[in-house]
Amino acid sequence: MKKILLLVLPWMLLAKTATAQFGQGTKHWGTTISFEGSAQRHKPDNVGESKLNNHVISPSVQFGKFTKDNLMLGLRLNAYLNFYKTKSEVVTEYESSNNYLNVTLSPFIRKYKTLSPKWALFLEPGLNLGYLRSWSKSTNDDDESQNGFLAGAYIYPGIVYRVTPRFALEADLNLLSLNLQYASMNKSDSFGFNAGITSSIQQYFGIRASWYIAKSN
Amino acid sequence: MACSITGALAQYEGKRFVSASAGINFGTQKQDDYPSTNGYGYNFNAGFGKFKTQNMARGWSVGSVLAGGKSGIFRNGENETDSGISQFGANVGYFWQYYKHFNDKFGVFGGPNIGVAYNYTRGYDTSNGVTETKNRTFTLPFSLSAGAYYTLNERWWITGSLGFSDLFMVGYTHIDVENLDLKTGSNSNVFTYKFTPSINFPSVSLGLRYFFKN
Repeated sequence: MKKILLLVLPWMLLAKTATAQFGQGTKHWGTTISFEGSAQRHKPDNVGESKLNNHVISPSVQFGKFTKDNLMLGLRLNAYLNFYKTKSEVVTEYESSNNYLNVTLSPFIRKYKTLSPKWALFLEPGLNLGYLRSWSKSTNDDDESQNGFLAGAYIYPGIVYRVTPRFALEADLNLLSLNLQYASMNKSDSFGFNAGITSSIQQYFGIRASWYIAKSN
Repeated sequence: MACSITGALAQYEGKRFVSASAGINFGTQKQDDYPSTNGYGYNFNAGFGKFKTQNMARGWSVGSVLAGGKSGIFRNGENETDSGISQFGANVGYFWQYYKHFNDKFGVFGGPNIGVAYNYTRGYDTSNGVTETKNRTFTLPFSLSAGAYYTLNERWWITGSLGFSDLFMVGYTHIDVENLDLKTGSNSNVFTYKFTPSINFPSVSLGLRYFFKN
């Protein structure tokens, strides 16, 4: 068997045949997740202790369908959750927690350009519609929660590597980006616009696992 | 020596190689009205690998770093010095590399690395009395890395890194803080974890690799 090794994920092997086109009717779904956190216990000599916990999880899932060859309509759901909690028994007892949730729904259009059976580029314009919520508790203050929303538009290109005809890895590239965003919480409003262009490949980008399931004839 | 132009690829199976970096440093400083200070340290990293097949190599990596010296601390209105080790680190890892040889000279490789690392640091803070902080960290990283090579001759490759991904990491840190004036202290235990499916392009770093005679 002919083994071709991918640069970044070399254990993934190339399957036998690959179709270059993303044909009309092909269904797509993609997902990624990242998480990180820490748990800390602090103990001063002879006087109680304090604890601090911070956890962040950010899953994303998207679905799409090709309405024409190389043109896909899709919908992505992104969530970002941050839990922060601190508890202290040094001198006096004190406890507080802050949590933040951001759920964003993004309808988007993707126009693909296949470079080879393995590689493709896409350009993705889309909308961001988000719900924001933060809630906090503490021993000394009243419980507090805030709700908000955000709305924005974006456009950026991306790259797809088809590991097999059905399975691909993709990344969004910020070579060209345009983002328009309005966010409103109970106590604050913000409006932002940013646009940029660069010819340098950014240093860091996230990878998404994705599947392309061609319509069976 | 005659070489065919279409040239068969070089045979790598069974070949063993090493790449390494190492450094030592020492310095001393004397200034009027202040105690003399000095610093010393070393660092090294080495990877030993073997091609198990034409397209796959695996091996061990080891590394260590040490820094120390005599540094000045302003304490109780006087200039004092502290001598000792301020950093020590050691790591051991195992790597797998999968190769795509484009031709006789040039190719790319990439693969996963696992390892265990220990790092110790000791430092002073004089902003609120004199406090000494000692950090001891264990980490278990799982990462991916990719590179390219160019064959200089039968014995030497020049290699360059193309990208890496710190996919998964768990770590544990024990921190001791002691106020040297008040003789009080505290300790912390921190557990951290991280999963990030992303790729970093580093600034290009070049290296050499030596192949042993079989």
